[in-house]
Amino acid sequence: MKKAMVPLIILFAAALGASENYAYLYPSILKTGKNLIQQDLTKWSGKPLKDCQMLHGKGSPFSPDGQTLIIDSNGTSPNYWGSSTLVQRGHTYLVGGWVKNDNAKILFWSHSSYSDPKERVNDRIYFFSGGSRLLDGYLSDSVKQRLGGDPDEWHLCYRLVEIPKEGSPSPRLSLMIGTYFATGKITIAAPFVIDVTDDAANWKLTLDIRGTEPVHSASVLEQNVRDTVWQKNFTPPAETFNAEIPGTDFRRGLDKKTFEGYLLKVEYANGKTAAFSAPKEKTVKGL
Amino acid sequence: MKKFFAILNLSIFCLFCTASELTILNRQGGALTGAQRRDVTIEIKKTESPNNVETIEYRLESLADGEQFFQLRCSAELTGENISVFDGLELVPANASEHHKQQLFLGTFPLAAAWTATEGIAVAAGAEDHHSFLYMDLRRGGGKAVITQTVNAALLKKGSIYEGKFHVIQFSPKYGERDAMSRYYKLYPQRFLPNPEVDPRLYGISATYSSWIRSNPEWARFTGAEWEWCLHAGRHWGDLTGDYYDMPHEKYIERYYFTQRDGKFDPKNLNGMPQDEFREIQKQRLADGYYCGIANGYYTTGASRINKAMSAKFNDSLAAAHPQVLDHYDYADSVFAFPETSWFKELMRMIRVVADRDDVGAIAFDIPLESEVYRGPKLREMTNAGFDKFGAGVVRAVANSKLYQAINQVPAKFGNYKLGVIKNGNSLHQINDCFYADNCMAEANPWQYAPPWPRFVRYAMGEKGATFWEGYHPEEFDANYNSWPQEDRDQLIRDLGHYAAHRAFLYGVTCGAHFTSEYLTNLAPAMQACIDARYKVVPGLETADGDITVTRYGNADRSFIALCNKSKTVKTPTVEVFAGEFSSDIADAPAGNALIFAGFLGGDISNLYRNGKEFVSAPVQPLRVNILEAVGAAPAGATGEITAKWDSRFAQMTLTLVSKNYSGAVQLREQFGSYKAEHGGSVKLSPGQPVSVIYRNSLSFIDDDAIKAMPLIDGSPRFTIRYADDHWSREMAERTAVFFRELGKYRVPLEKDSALPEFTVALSLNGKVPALTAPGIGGNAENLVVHAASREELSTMTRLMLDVLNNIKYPEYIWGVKMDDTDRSIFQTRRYSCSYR
Repeated sequence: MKKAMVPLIILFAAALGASENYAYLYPSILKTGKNLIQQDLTKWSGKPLKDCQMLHGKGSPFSPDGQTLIIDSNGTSPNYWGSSTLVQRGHTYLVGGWVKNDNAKILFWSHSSYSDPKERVNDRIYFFSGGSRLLDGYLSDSVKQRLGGDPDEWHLCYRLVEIPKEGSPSPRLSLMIGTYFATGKITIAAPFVIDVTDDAANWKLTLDIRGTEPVHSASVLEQNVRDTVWQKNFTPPAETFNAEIPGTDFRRGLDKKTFEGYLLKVEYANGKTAAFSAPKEKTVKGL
Repeated sequence: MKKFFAILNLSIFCLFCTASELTILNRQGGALTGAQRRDVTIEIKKTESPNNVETIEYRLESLADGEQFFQLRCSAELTGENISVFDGLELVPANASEHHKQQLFLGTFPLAAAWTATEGIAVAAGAEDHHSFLYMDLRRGGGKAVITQTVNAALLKKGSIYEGKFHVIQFSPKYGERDAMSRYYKLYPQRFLPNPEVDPRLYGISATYSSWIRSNPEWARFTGAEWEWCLHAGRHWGDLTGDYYDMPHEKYIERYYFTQRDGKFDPKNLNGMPQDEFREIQKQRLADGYYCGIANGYYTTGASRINKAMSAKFNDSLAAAHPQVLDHYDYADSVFAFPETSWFKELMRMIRVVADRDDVGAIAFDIPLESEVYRGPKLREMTNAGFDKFGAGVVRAVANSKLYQAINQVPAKFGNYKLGVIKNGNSLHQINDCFYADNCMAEANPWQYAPPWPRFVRYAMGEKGATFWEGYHPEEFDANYNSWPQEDRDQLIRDLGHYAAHRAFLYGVTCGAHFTSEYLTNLAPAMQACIDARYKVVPGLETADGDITVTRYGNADRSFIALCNKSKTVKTPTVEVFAGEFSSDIADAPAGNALIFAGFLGGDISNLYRNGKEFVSAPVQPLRVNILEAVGAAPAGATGEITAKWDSRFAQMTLTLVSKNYSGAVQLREQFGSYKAEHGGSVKLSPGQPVSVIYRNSLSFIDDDAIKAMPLIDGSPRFTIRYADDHWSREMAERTAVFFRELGKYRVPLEKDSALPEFTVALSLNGKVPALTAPGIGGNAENLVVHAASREELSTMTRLMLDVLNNIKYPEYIWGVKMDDTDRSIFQTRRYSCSYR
């Protein structure tokens, strides 16, 4: 495999120093490809708007010191954090990141050559959890419960993006993560753009548990149908575990009509849960 | 008219703490040089308009061949403490000492206002000035605020003209900027009030906005829809008539026709649709207007985008290079329909062909892209060219405005109307053309933006039509929505419906068909009544209850009050009514007769008159609405309390008044739409003595109970649908059959009955249809008959008959998610659309 283990080492180097508090959930792709998007999140672009704060914070799914980007808005306009990277024509990229969502609607928007219809790439994921600050007084308790919004939950959102073969010689792929329904707060961590064109890429999901927060059970579900793909109870609760999850395949992210991603749920021994998901993109309206 | 060649510094008026001035400056904002003054004629005229408005008209004409650029600046100063400022979109933060905003852009109204607790002053640019670049600035501090508007004007050749108006408005700060808005609207009734020459349905609730899919008549009926976007008019973008049919096809558009034809879309096999087949589909789609009882809006993108293969022919109309153009539309070129361009002439030719040929109530423009700037070869021929940092130009909103105005002169084929204009507005663009459109679609759902959304849409449209698009999109709240238990799925829709109703009634922005649920279906007659009375920017109402929003529709005893309860508990707010404001739309207007309100949805409403003040009190269920209707007036200075209550049936409505301690006469309305008082509207009240006034429906010739008792179905239909010889009666017979087929799953046979007069349809158990002597709905124990005087009347009357059947006889027929018990409790009586028109 050409892309070796370097990115994993980089990724985990940040994580190891704080492993006593964390369990790790990630696509195995992260082992196999270089993360192309800017990892120093202080270099991402984003500007505050009226009633919308753009902040930097700490505490990613991988490290308490991991950088985060925050949008906290009671305003009326969507707003974004964004960065771009050079990509290659004809290649396919896994594009995404981790988000915490406190009553916002999140838009993951990856695009390239947007102003040129012939070369345009325009992939979007809309993600809404936990109701809405705007609608908070209107949503019934049963609906709020169903929406399941835990503002401290980390969600993994991703999409496979194909860069057209034809076009300008040095295309850039932009990743913008922000609020679509303006009100609410989102926290963004560990964004990634990984070249997964290599057929030897590992497309499975990996569960990696290390640290002192023992895990009682873990399960992988398919979004939408909620079929359990994989489930394991740890007796006694596990502090370490590392395995690829059978039956998972991130290439299904190309099938935007039927595949809505995975939901990976972990229950810690102390009863706290975590869930990771790749939600469905917005319904195509036609015009 | 006074003429001079100089820097103008014209003090308009200076009252106790307000002052205003007009200045003409060079491109950089400096004083004009002597040479600059010599190259231009400047005419200024100051007039006083009613309602404390000073108007400054200006006209610049170039005397030289070169390009000249000017900043035209009007300022007003307000002194006092705690000065609030509205920048055309929202309040400027209280701690901001300076503020700059581009107006007419991003939803920003061309009016800036400042006010203290006791007085206010506003500066506004003319609504018919066709500005492209307009800015407001604020300087605030030291106990005063100066608000300034600046117009960027370009004169591009000898004889070029730039003309317009500034208005300086003194207003009451009672409702923030709203009194200034109301006074401004009164300056331009043709821009902010409905146009009596177009089909009035165009101001009402919209249907599905699915231009390429045939309308569902039952869905439209449940929605209360009155107009619809209707079929992309051409095979190619910009081709309204089919004259360009044989150009290379656009799969992007054509796929929808194929989907409609056979339900399948095969991208490899798109070339085969002959023009006559295309036209047949188009005709079917356009026939839906009559069939569904709605006005057709003829969908086109032609104001902004045309097929690339067409564009060479209209190269004077195309977008010149502009660094901000961002084109989303692969198959089309950006085009401008300025009257000076060839595209305007071709577009108007095609619109006239369509208006002569098809059943079209309006042209409905999608993707109007109002803020794109034209800098092409016709620019030098235009008046009121503006400039920005890229040079001279005119925004597309100006082209659209003039195009819409021309369309409003084109006669429609049916109904003795002129064509209307509907536009898909977008907050990212310029708003000038809203002043020339009859209805504006806000392409968003109510929760897409935080409050005060959608206020700016309402402000831009004045008292004309505005509507949300989108719908519930529950999968956007949770990708797994479809796997939720049914009750939870329904509850999310109900919750969203409550929010949608609140935002809709707060600003008079209607909810289209994709919001349809049983709750909104039941609210639709109230929304229709309110929209028909027209949204009023000055509420004329106040309540101390912060959980209740108040909105007024209509004037005096033709008015409605919408109360929205944002809390989760039942509220019975006391609302102070300022009857003078209800009559004049001007804040602090002196009071006249006191108004009497009853509940449009039913229930007892208390009207209290005390110390020359008037209060109305009504219960509002948690997160729901209540709609009050003015039913009459008590004399000015009345004292006491009157409760009023509607009991409404189709054949008649009964208004019951009970005086608790009021003695004297009141004057009730003598007519509510087709309902007329049996014995006039003058009533004398005495404490404790209920008085009921009966209003008979002039369209009803049959009692509700007779309709309910009619044994139409006994396991299977026992009746036939009979129709007169004419084509339109046949169409409505088929439409009636859809009601039973879609909702009752019954197939009812149709029979032509040559004995019936023109424009007649009947549900007949015995084949012996009685004749109606006047248009309306009547019959006997074995026949329910609809008879109309015209094609248009038959379409709406048939829909009304189905509403009556639905409510009286088949209440189980509903569309979308059912109401819960609280929803159901607010609908204590039923009103029909004929009750207010």
